[in-house]
Amino acid sequence: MRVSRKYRFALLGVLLIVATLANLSLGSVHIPLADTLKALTGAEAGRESWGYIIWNYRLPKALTAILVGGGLSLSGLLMQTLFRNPLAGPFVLGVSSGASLGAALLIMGASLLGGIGGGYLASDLSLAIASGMGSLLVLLTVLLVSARLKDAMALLIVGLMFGSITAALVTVLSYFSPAEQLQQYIFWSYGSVGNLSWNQVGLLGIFFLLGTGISIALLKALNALLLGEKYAATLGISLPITRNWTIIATGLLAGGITAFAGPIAFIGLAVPHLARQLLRSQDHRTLLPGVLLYGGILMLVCDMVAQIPFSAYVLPINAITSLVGAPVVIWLLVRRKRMLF
Amino acid sequence: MNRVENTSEKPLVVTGLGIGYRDRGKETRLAGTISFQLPPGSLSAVVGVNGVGKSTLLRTLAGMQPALEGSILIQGNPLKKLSPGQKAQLLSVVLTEPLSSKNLLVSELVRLGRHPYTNWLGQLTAEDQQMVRESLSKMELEAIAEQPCHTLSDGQLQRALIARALAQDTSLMLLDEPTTHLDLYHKVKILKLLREVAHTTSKSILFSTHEIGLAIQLCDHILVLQPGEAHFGSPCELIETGDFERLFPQDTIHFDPQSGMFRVHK
Repeated sequence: MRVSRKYRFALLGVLLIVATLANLSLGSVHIPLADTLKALTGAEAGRESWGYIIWNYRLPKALTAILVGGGLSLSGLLMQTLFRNPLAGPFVLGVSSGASLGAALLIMGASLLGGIGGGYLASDLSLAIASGMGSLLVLLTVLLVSARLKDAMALLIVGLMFGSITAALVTVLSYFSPAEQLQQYIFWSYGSVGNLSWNQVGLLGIFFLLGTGISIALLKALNALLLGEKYAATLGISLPITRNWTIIATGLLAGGITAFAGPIAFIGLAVPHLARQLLRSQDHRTLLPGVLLYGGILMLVCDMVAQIPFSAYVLPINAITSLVGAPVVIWLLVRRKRMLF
Repeated sequence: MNRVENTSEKPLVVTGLGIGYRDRGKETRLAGTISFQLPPGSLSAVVGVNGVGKSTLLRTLAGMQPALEGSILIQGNPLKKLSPGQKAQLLSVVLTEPLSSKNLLVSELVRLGRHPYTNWLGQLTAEDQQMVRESLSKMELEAIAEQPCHTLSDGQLQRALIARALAQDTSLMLLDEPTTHLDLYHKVKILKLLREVAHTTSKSILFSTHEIGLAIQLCDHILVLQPGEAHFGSPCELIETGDFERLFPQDTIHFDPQSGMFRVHK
């Protein structure tokens, strides 16, 4: 059993490398794999522009995809364990709805306030900041409310309610917005792992490392939660501390990712289930590296599909993640006949 | 984590305990004032009618809800002053609530019992592994150790939960209705296993049950809870003082002290 789990981890590792290389060599400009490798190792690629494309466009995009996929999957795992609910995902606490409110306020709010920025369109960085602030605001509210709630289920419902409130506010904002701003907001809501500068990737990486670090410190408590909250408490686990840090880790991961890549559906919900199926374990010490690898791979694949190889079209990644991922989950469930949780 | 010092021989000493709920200043008191002591290496039962406070008593003893009054000493330590980590090394529980993850393997479930002793990552030492193996074998679970919990029968699952509590290696074990949903054979099997564990390991085991007949035959002590009263003693003492006779309305069920059994009035 141990040995086969090692093989499965090795398989995930190899797949991640293969997916990264494939992701780098595919795109609107065709670059042969050999030249991709050359450019990566610092050697002269076939054409000068190829090296530039690889280093300044495709490599940050591939890294972003890995961080986004892994980070969302990890926050999904945290939420599923905290809420003992297989349907929980990274956004159940309203992180993405907070982000969308922040983005909507920035893009569409300006025109509402007397048309100061009439034809003004928000920059990528200001969008990241605005949606990040939105996530943070919702998350702080959830933390405050959670201190007054005993039950994790009640917290789940509070998160959903915040989602409804922010969605309603976004609807009101978009009702009063001119077409141009509305379009930019819609494009933001499609999500994107491209368009990040190296600095932004670095910033995203910091969010990712902080969130993952906190999760590693929580591993033991998360395993105890598999028994249920009451049993976990009798094992000496402090429920309020565990709950708060789990929310903070999820907020850093999902909030940071949504700020830079927009709302990306499905990955965070599905990957923890896929990882449980593959690794045949409930132990978070096994699942944490598992979901990071699996999430990165799936996101790279989704990005490749969204690029439509050899064409100039790029499909919204938010739609692709569901289109690619949902059938995979259905297929796995039908094959195994049950949900592992 | 540091082991807690054993300052007393008695795993559990309860004095003048009042149990119940306090909600917005309104106090709901269950049972009477409870005082008893459990010696090491004994199996004891809590009996009483539905709603008299059996589960509430166990939850109060486990520190999961506050006592209304009185004192609880675990190995001589006041329960209120113990940290969650210390409590986890002194008392273990088996609850009626279902497991969060039914896909845990039996061995994984039992390993989680070692949590109070493992490092920050929850890694098991050779000593921990040994304790897990012993717990599995005491509950006769070796053959199904690698099965997920959702494939187990009710009796097997109950033994797995008890094995987890055993692995926690505490001097006091509290079980809430460990024999419900089981047929007579499996009820007896669970209680006999508990009795054997108590007598061979110097643990004190306290469980709530509706199986008064079995408790009389298998337990060293019984705590009888009644509205406004609580009596503790050996089964024989309690039969002599007539406590079982007063447990249920006499016109429906009466207790036969000769056979130690309840008879129904037809």
